[in-house]
Amino acid sequence: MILVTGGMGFIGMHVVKALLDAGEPVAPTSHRSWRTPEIWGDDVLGKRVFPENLDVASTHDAVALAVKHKVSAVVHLAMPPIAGNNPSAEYITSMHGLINLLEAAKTAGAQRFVFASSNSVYGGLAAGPLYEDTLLPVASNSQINAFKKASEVLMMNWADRTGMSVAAVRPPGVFGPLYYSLYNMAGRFCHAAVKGVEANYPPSGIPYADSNADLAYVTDVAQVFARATLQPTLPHRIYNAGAGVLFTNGQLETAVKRVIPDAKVATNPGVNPNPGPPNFYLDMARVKADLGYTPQYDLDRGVAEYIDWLRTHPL
Amino acid sequence: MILVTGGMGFIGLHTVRALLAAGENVAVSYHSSYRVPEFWKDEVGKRVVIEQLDVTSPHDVLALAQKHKVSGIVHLAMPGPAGLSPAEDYRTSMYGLLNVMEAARFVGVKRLTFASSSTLYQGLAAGPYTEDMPLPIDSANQTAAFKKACEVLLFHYADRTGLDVGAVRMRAVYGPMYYSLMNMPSRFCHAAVKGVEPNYGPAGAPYAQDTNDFSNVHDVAAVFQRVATADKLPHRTYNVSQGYEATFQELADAVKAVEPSFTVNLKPGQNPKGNPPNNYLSADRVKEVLGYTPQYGVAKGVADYIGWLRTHSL
Repeated sequence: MILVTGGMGFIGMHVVKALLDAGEPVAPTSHRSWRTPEIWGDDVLGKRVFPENLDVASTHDAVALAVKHKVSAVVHLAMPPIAGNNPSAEYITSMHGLINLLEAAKTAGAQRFVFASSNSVYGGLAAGPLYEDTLLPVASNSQINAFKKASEVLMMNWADRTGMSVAAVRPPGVFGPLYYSLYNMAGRFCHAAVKGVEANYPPSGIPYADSNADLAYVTDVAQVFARATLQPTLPHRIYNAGAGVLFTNGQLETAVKRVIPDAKVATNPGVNPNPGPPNFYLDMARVKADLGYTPQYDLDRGVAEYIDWLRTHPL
Repeated sequence: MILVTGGMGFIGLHTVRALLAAGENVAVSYHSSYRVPEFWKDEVGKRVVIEQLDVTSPHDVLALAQKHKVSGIVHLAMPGPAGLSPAEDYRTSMYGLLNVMEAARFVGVKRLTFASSSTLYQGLAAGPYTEDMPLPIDSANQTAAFKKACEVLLFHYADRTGLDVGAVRMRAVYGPMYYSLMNMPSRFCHAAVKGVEPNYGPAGAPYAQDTNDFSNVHDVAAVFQRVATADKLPHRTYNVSQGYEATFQELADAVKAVEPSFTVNLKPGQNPKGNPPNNYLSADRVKEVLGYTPQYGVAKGVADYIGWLRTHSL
């Protein structure tokens, strides 16, 4: 049995599916939003999926849950919402949550602890490609950067002291089925195309065609999580989970219009006059070498499958 | 009134003295070990108030900061280097930091100064170590891990709330009132005064030509006082350093110069595992921004420490 905190979040639901596909029963936890998606399969609740409510900031509840299910591994995805809390509440959910789940995993006799980190930890670097062992600045340019970076530092030292096998997985922007928060451009464009409405552009406005980002399809990300969780030995403790290449907004627009030609999605020519750092993509060589996995989705395939899914599901 | 958590620890005692010398009143908090040093005992009840505090209690930290209407906090309290479990170390370090940050914000202090460590630089290929260097995720020990995570979270909290913060990174600090004797200058000086060969610790005698950046506690306290009380801080992180690497041979020679009977058996040459080149912390920022140049090289620092040890019980 594998405990997946935040297992009813976007990435969490796909991680649960990947673990189920690998034959593992799963206890996904939820704090506020309760979702048991169809991708988990029919008639699985109470048989192979055992959903639980959990506030990760509660030490005793976290330990009790891990022990109750005799978990063999913990995948810790739960995190505070990106906006809306105060710094103290976020600190408690992020930092108290981490130690509670680490200790819960140890107490239950789990063999592996996998932490959902983020490519945000690379924020502040002058250029990519981004390698797992790249040294990182102490200053952080976002709250996700700060909390994920501090969590990785503390988890690695906790693992040094306890002997627990741990891994941190660093995904970039992720899109695909069940993505509802729609922060990234792929989510915004695909939703607008299926609805037949003008894209809801981010506060910065219509994106520049030649600006780019590493953007991963959620199925690929879930595969990296599942392998980092289930592989008996891991040669490293940090794994990128990106597409491993840069996609431009122009390529995204083209990919969407290839499926829905009259989609009302647009880009402005050129690059953002305040460009991001060059080559800012996640190097995927370590995942290939250690976990035997190569990302399966380029932008065209990801957009096509996502739009296909959106057409048959309520938006 | 400035609150100094861990104010009865080794560095805390001297930081309190430096703040008093600069005209500040000080609230000294301690948890388990209570020490009133001769160099500020006459100020207790006048310019020094002493309070017991567990930094993991949010209400107690806040109440203490409010009671004394503190204008600044210097946060030195940390779990002991051995004895607690990883979870308890985590609780003291990470809950303690949050509670102190929140108290600082609620009472509106001018600045929160955090005691960090040069252990953050371990794992880097070469020095001199400067404050803005990017750092590895892995840590050589728990001090490195907790101090690194605390700095990350402190600076982020400051970004979010506008709290004015500073962090002081220090290394191999020695001098009067140092009792835990983890580092070599203190082991050498204590042994010299006792007339015995040093207890070198688990790693054995150091190599004569290996180096470290030894910091005298008077210099460390002076930097804490300046970071805590400067009107404006253009940076958030400050090294305390001599600004050069001294060999263990230099250290041994400095002890012998004061105590000629001192017996020490250094291993010849360098550790085959090697130190990174230029294994010292840059002192440039402290000099340029705070106008402070370390006053205690190895020779002066050792002489001062041995002089103090000779007149105090070991």
